[in-house]
Amino acid sequence: MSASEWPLWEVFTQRRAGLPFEHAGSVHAPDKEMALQNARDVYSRRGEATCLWVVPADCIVSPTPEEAGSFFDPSNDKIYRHPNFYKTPGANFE
Amino acid sequence: MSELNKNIAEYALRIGDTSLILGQRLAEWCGHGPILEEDIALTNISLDLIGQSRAFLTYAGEKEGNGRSEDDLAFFREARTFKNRLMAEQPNGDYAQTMIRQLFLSVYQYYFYTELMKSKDETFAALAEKSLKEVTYHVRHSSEWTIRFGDGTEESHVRTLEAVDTL
Repeated sequence: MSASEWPLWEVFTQRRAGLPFEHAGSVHAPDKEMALQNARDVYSRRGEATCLWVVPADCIVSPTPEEAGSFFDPSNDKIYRHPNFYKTPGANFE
Repeated sequence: MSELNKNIAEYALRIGDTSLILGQRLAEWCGHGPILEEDIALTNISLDLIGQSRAFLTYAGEKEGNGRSEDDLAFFREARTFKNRLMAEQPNGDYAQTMIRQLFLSVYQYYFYTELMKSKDETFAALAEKSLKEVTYHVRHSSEWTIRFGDGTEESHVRTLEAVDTL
């Protein structure tokens, strides 16, 4: 980030009360209030949202691409972790 | 045309013209904003104002009774016949001048629409209620920018004071 560039904020919108917040995109802003206003103007100007979250992008923790293998691959080949062998009335884990 | 209708048409035109001219001024920033988010924010405000103007000019045309539409009133009048508040037509200047002009007019509209909601004229009252929601956000946007200009750098502080003096 260059010195003249404002911090990045990730924007989450909620379409209706009770629904989960979904990632909508990001905005640049110098502080919380401006981040909220920018998010409102960029991501809900056509009535897409009834509520908004803005989160400083550097507060979001994510594994690096190099770590993806060790993080996620081991779960791919252990079919016994999926409880699909049991006949359970009404349950569907697919 | 009755005297009452004539007065209502005149009044609606004054309200609508102020929103229209200010909306057009803000639209000049489209594609020229200091950052993408602010470019969109200003043109959002512009569209709010032009929307308000459409409603008031349509009502003016109805009360005038000469069959003039919102478009006739917005685009087919001589410049000198517009009845907007003069501050609305002041040039954009730098971003401080645009924002201070917005602060002054949005605060004015906030109190104006708050009172207009009490009008015995149901159309005025309804349009005021709808417009007030938009203007409440415009006040928030322009006042937050004004605080940041004032507290920002020496240059932003000076430019903001100059904008207040100019307006």
